[in-house]
Amino acid sequence: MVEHTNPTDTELVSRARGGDNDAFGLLVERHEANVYGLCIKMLRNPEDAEDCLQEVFVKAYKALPSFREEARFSTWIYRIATNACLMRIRKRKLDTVSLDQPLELGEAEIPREVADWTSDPASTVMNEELGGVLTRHINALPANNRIVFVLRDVHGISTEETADILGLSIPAVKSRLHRARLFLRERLAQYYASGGAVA
Amino acid sequence: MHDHKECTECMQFLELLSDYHDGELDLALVTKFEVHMIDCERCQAVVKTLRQTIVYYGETRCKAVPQEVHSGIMNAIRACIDTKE
Repeated sequence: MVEHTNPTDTELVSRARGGDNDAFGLLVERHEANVYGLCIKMLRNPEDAEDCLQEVFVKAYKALPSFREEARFSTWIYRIATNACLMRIRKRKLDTVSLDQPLELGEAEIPREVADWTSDPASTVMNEELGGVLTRHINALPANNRIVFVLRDVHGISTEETADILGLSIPAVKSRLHRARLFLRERLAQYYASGGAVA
Repeated sequence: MHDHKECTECMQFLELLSDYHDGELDLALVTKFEVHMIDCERCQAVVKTLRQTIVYYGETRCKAVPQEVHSGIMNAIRACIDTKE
């Protein structure tokens, strides 16, 4: 039967908890791109991201009976996903990821170069070269700053929800976001200043 | 143009840049910052390029997963269901 309504996540969770596996399938369809995007940016390669994505939804399926419905499903699934990503990074020792460790302030200094590259008409269009540059620089961020930046500025999640997902205080989220933004802005400014023009 | 690296106001505003971008600064500080920027081309550029950096990264958000990736998830869940049953 064709479904004509657009059920909320809460309704789908309720149905899934009652044994409706199709409802869980709809939740997967609704949230998989966000989780996959997060995994790609945190784990840096598609194969690991795909493994992690499966792990996240299998964990969510198994944990659904214990899901407390006062939280949003999206917050809950992001929380599972961020934990899964950080666990994998810890295991593989790709980064230093303690969310409580002091931050390095290396890039939080007065920018060396502030040429205004926002007026470059070509810069308004994402292309392969710029995409590669963005990926390289975001990958250079420490994982604890990268995850905050991805949630806030790539996925557009509020500071409060990001804090909830990561179990951090709001000032900690803001501090990490600020450092990540300055780092990435500085790197892009250097890219443009060095003549890395976007064709 | 004043020396951006030596200017304490530039230093102060760099620390507040994210809050300014997110509209979370007190009105008094916003006013002070914007008056400062009238004569500070470098701070103007930093604000604009920060904004553009965030726009660029926002455009990298994953919009959809490849079909085979979706199938992989559903197969993993089916295997989980089969085990339970």
